[in-house]
Amino acid sequence: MNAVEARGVRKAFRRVNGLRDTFRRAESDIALAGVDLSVSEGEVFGLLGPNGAGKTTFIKILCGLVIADEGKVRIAGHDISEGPAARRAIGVVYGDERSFHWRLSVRENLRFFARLYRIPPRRANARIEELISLVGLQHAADRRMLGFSSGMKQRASVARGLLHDPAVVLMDEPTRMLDPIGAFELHSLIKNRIAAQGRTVLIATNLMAEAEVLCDRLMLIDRGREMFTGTVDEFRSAFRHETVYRFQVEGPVSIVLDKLPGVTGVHGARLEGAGAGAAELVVTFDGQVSALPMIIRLMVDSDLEIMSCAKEEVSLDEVFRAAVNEQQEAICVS
Amino acid sequence: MRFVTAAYLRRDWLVWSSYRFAAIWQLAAVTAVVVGVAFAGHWIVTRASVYNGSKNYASFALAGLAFTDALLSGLTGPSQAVRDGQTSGTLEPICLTPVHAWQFIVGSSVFQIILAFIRAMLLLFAAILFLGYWHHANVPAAVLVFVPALLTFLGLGLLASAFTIVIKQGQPVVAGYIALSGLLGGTLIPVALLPAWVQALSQLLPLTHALTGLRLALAGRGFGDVGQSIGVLVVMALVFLPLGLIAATKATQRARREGSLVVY
Repeated sequence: MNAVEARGVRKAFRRVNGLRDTFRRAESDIALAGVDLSVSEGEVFGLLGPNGAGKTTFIKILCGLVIADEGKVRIAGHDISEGPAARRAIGVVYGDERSFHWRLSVRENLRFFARLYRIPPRRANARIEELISLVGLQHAADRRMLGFSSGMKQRASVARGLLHDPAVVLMDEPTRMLDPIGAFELHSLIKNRIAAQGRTVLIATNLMAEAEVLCDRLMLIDRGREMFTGTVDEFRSAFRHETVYRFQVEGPVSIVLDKLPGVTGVHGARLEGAGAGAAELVVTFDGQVSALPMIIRLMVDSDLEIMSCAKEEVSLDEVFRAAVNEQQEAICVS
Repeated sequence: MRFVTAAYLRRDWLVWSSYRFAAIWQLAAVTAVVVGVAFAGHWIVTRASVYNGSKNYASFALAGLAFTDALLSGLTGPSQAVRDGQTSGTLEPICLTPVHAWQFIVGSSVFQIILAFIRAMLLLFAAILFLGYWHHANVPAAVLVFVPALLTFLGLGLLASAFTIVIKQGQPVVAGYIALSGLLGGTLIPVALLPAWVQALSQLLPLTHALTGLRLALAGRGFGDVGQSIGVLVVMALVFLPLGLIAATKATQRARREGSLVVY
């Protein structure tokens, strides 16, 4: 059984700009255009997309805060329209700081939410202690949350999301307000403590590095449409169409530079750092065509001495940008 | 529901008591009202028959102010609870719990209602102790008037909260209703002194019946005298409470469809 199952989820929001729109049929903005999703039990799944892609709307539909216009959502076997029964299976961690009673301590906030989840007081107290310790807020557990830093509030949000021991944890841009150290700590927490307990975790993020570190699989959505679903490696190869190699060379570089565009699959070549010593030759070629042996043969035949050769690792952020640009170009053409 | 209400009571007590100055100020306000009304009451003299059993204007006005405050908390509490949830951002996490929307709204209002009730009791006890009023009050009759009146206002409050959830601004509706009730419902102005057509209008307001019944009960009148008020208020409660519960539930559903639960 899949922990999260969504079929054909569609959502459009009415665009109300003024009083007149309140009383007439206003235009709608499509937030989600029939998205399908299956996440297995214990999987850490990333929901990626640029701002306005529909990630938050999708997360809110998955947890029942927003009702979809069309489609079905099942969480841990419960139809989300069942309401309270389904909501018990879901824990939500917000990226937004504004979700606590700031004049209460984190312990009192957690106690309040534990009661709403109808956790018996004794069990709730033990669970709160465990979670406060898990997120490292022991020293501040009885302080009003007014004075909490963004990182502390985020950790409190994680504790609340886990309070009722949910099978599925949904996280909406959990590191949005955090500095790199805070983000690193939260990633460790998610990976080593939350996911390690066998929970299913779904993280909406626009940080590719976050997805790379945390996720088993990911889905890329843009403008409410599913663009890709697969592993991080599959994502990289799906949208990375070019391969880049950097060669440290000595010898007649300019001759090779002139001949390289004639090699099948080569898209371009440029010289960086040319001087008295070794020069760096950057060659870009089609990822689908193995042009590397021909490039090397050309260099050797041209008496170019190859000191080193390295494949340029492309960050997932670049792949993400390429994927989004590709999608937008496709929309413009159509 | 008991479990959930206890959670809201504890939360709201902790929040309220964290504003120490406001807490002290509320006690000071009760004292000021008793002294001010007793003092001003000396100058306002009219036929005693217009006071619904109260022996003078001061006792009429004190009872009016005390119960209006207590009852209107049922009206203002729900929409204020929703508004606070929207502005603080806590509404969404609360809606993620297995608590129904109406339970959240009613639960969040209970503390304000209890607080207003305590203020009313302090005011009444101060008047009993220091001004010698209502020594022969019919307390069971007062309770029988107060309970359906409070439930009626809670129903109206739930309706107002539905406005707050859907149009994001329920307060103007509530403020208008409070102003109307204050003027026509007999809080400070005896209804019998109003023009006949305004008196007819005031009979549509639950506050009119609640204050009439409560003043008669404080004056020690029997169930025969307060029976009419109780009857009208029970009917109103039976109409407005279910209506309010349905409206609040429907409004929450609508906000979930529109994705506007925390928009304000």
